[in-house]
Parts: sequence; C-alpha cells; structure tokens
Amino acid sequence: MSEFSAYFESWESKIGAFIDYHWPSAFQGPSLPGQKGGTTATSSPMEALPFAVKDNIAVQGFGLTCGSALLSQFRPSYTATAVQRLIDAGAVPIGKTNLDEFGMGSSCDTSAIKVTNNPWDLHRVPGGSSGGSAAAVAAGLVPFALGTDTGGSVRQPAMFCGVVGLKPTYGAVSRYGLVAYASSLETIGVLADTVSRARDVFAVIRGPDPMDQTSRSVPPWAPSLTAGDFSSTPRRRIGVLSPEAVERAVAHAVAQSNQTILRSATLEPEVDRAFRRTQDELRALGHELVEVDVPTLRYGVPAYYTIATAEASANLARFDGIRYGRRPEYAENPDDLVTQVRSQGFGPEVQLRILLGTFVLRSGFQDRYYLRAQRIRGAIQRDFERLLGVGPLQDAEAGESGDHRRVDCILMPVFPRRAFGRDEEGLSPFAQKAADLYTCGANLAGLPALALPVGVEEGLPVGVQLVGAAFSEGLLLDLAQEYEAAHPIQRPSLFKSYWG
Amino acid sequence: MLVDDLKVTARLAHIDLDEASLGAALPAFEQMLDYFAAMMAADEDGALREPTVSTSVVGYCMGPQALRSDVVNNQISENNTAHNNPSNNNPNSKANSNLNNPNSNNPATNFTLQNSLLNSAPDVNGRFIVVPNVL
Repeated sequence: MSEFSAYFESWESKIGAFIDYHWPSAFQGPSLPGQKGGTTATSSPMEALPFAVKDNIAVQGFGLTCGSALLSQFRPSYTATAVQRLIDAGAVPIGKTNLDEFGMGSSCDTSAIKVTNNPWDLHRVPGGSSGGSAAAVAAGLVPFALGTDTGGSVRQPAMFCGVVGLKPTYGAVSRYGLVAYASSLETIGVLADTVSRARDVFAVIRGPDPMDQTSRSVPPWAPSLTAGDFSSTPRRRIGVLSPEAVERAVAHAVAQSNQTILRSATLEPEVDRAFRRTQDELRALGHELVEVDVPTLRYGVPAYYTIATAEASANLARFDGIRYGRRPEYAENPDDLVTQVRSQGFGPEVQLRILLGTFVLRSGFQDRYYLRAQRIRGAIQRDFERLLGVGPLQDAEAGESGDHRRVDCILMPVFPRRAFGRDEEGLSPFAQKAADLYTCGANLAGLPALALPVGVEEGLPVGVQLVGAAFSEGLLLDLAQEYEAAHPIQRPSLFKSYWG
Repeated sequence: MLVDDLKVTARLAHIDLDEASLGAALPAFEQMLDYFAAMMAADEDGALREPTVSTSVVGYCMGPQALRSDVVNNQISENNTAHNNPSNNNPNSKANSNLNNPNSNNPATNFTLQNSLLNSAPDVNGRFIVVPNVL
C-alpha cells in the first residue's frame, strides 16, 4: 500500500482530480483478491476494487459539493443507488472527484472548488464535466469512476484523458442520489481503464430502482453483457457519421457569419486523422462500414441547450438557502435571503444557464424556444430510430440488403478537438458549448454511447464514440472490446497499472 | 435583447446582477440566444416535416411502463369542437374537460388546454395563474 500511496499522492498533487478522498483503514492496497477481475468462483469482479465518484452523486460519509461554493459544506444523508450497488458488490468508494459546477461545462474549470489538470499534459484541461473522474482513471489512481453525462460529460473527458467512457441508455441506471441538472437528459455513466471494466461496472449498476421512476428493466431482447469470443461474434454493420456532412449541415443552419459555430463543427487534423484510421481498422476487423446521415443533428446544440437550461432553471430553484445552500449572516426578508444565496453561491456559468433557462420558459417565449426545441428533439430521435431501430433486429430485416437496412451502431467523433489548454489557444465558453455537436444527440434521443480511445496524436489521446439503439450497451461493449484487443489503449507517461 | 429583458429575467431567477455584472453577462446571453434562433430554420427546411412520433424521449425510453397504473390520465379529444370557439371557457364543457394530447402542437388545442387550466385555477390575473406567497 505504501508504494501505491506514494504513487497516488504524487499524481494527485499534480492533477487535483479529487475534491475529497480517504482510503478506508481496512483497505490493504491494490494487491487484494478480485483486483484481477475475480479469479475465484465466489469473487466478484468488483471485490475490493476502489472507485471514485463524481461529486454530484451522493455518497454517505463524503461531502456533496457539486463543484459549487453554494454546497461546499453540504453532507448527504444517503448514498446513491448506483454507488450502493457497487458497494454491495464489494467495491470501495474512496473519494469524490472534481467537476464543472453542477455539471455545467466542458473543462472542469467552472468548478468553484479547485482546478483539475489533464494527466497527459498538466497545462491542459481534463474535459468536463466529469473531468476529475476521467483524470483519476487515466492516471491509474482508481480502476474506474462514476460520472454523469447530460450532453457528453462522460464521453468528452474520457476522450481528453484517454479512458473508456460509457453513457448508458436513459433509464438503464437509477438517478437516485444524483443532484439533478437536466433530468430528462442526464444519466450516471462509467469511466474505466478498460472496456472490460466498464462492462463489469455497468452490469452492476444498471437495472430498475423503486426510488427512480424513470429507471427500467433491461428488455429481454437487449444484447447480452457477457463478453464472448470475438472471433465468433457476427460482423457488424456500422454507420459512419461523416463529419464533413455535419459541417455542411451546420453551415446551412447557422448564419455564415458565425465563425465560432462553424469552427466548432470542424475536426482538427489530428482528430480527423484518428477518426479515418479507426474506420480502416474496423474494416480490417471485418466489419461493414456505411455512411449515414442524421440531418436534424444540425439543430442539436441549440435544442439541447434550450432544454437543458430550461430544466436547470427549475431543478436549481431548490438552492435557495432555505432547503439547500449556506445562509448569509443577514437578510431583510425571505426574498432577499434567496437572492443573496443564489447571487453569491452560483458561479457565472451556472448563473448564465439559469438565466437562459428562465428566459426560454418565460411567457411569450416558450413557443419560440422551448417547444420548438422539444419538436427538434423528437425529430432527432426519429432520425436515430430510422438508422438504429427501437427493438431487436427482425430476421427479415437482418436479411435485407441494400443501404436502407438499418445499422447496428453509429461511429462518430466525440469532440472536434483534443484536450485544449487554458491559454489563448483554448476554447471560449461559447465554443465549448457549440462543440457539443457530436455528443448531445445521444442525450436528446436517450441512447447509449461509448467513447473509446483509438490512439495518441501529437502527445494527446483521441477517441471515437459508438452510438447504439436503446439498451444495446452489450453490442457497443463487444465491438469496443474487440477493437481494444487489437489496438490496446495507450497510457500517459509515469502511469503504472495496479489494477490488473 | 435589451438589458431590461435580462434584468427582468434575473429578477425571476432570484439572481441579483449589478450593472457591471449585467454588462458582462449580456454578450454571452445574446450569443446563446442567437444560436437558439437557428432553430427557427427547422420549420422551413423540412427537418420537422415528418409527423411527430413523440416529442418525449422519456416516454420512448421508458416504454409503456412510463405511467404509473394509479395515475389518472385526463385526456382532451383531438376533435374537440372548441377549435371553432376558442372563447368557450366553460370548465364543465366536454371540449375543455377532455385533455387528450398535452404535447399537441395544434395551437387551437393548446389554447383550449390553457383555458381549461385557467378556469380551474383558484385565482387568475389575465392569462396568468396567481400563486399565493408561501413565505
């Protein structure tokens, strides 16, 4: 344990992934039964594995800051269902990780608690909002961590840090114990060092929960989560979302003068190169790749931010200094109390999103913004359904030939850029939002998506994502694990593997 | 977008912005609203032309179990006759008591739904429901 403690402290002092952590006294270090993935008949793959939890998910015994000054002293009185299931399976929560305040951001830099750095380059961001979880896994401090994904907040930091990120189907994992930001979009997700680990964790945390009415059982037709022999698994038909087509569509939808949005849709050369190479590598594994289009995705970002901010304005109303939040020394009246708490407690990005959400829900503006965004959301959902279907593949359909047959999953970029810096070459807050183009679609449609590292370009990791039909996580994991076996995930320098 | 609009919105959100903060917030606020405006084009370019299957992704993901069995599902008839008589504010009328499709994009249906809700409210101010202070 002492060697690992030194390793842990050395990394943590540089990357600042954790807001709070403590190793249980009973924890004997990484060399415990189960660390190799459960080698005995009775052991669970989770047995004695430490894990980290994004600090917007409740774990009794730890704080729950949500990266906000407003909740810096808050202690939850219960543990989230997803965390409790992991504890019941033998895993050990050892800390809470940094995040953008209330999950609102793509860099971890909107956290009011601390700064988190990318293990690959300490001058760059780890991504967000689950940046602390991604950085902790990438540095090998924990084998896996829980994050949350509202518009890409698991997948984008997974790509920036070179780890696996799984955003499950909406409803597959209970949200009980997650501090709500945008309830109809967000899911608890997994960041893991390997695809196999992500599979093990997801198998434990998924399933219905009476404490969350939006959670549901896995349908009987859903692909199995049991990893098989990849040499005998069927070759897949993979749709490829062409970034060029997306760029053209975005250019059509927004004013040509808005260069920030147009630039945000364009892949930087390193990301583009890795994306094309991945297509070749998947073909080499025997899969069929066909180009697909999701035309309505060009409206994805504005629709996503309209809905997310509207829901945020309602969900964050509870942080009023009465129900939640630290009270000021003095207030004239209850209205003044609430206003003081929210004005001083929320950071600028959270305030901006609450203002936007309040505005789009104001009388007279609902039709123009919120209701239109909901219609676009329905259209995006239909576009994905057209490509992926909504249930088991029918025999007749499986035998159909031609380009109209649906695909097993869709391959697309995660984010147009690799991890960006905090200097003048970084991304503005608006550019970061516009770059959610490739991730927010899965949230709007409630579909599972898996971010997978596919290489390192100029010293920084690049990833791609696979989006599947609802409850097709097993299929996505099989495909990703097959790819990982042929192209092992690369790690940052000074990384040591303690977790088997 | 005027600063006054932002001030009103901030007051509704219980966020106190001084003049300097307002000035700083306004460009980012306007930039996002400009981007939101790109959604207007969806009405013309055919993106929304296909009949809407469902605008509720939650319902889609949750399937038929989405509604609890003990929840009463009030419904408005799509064929309600109030389309021809939007001034019909009688809460007991057949047209107003059938709430069929709360997600309907039909303005006439939405108007009837609004009337039904307004007529059921204990206190109204114009077309707004008055909610008493609780603090």
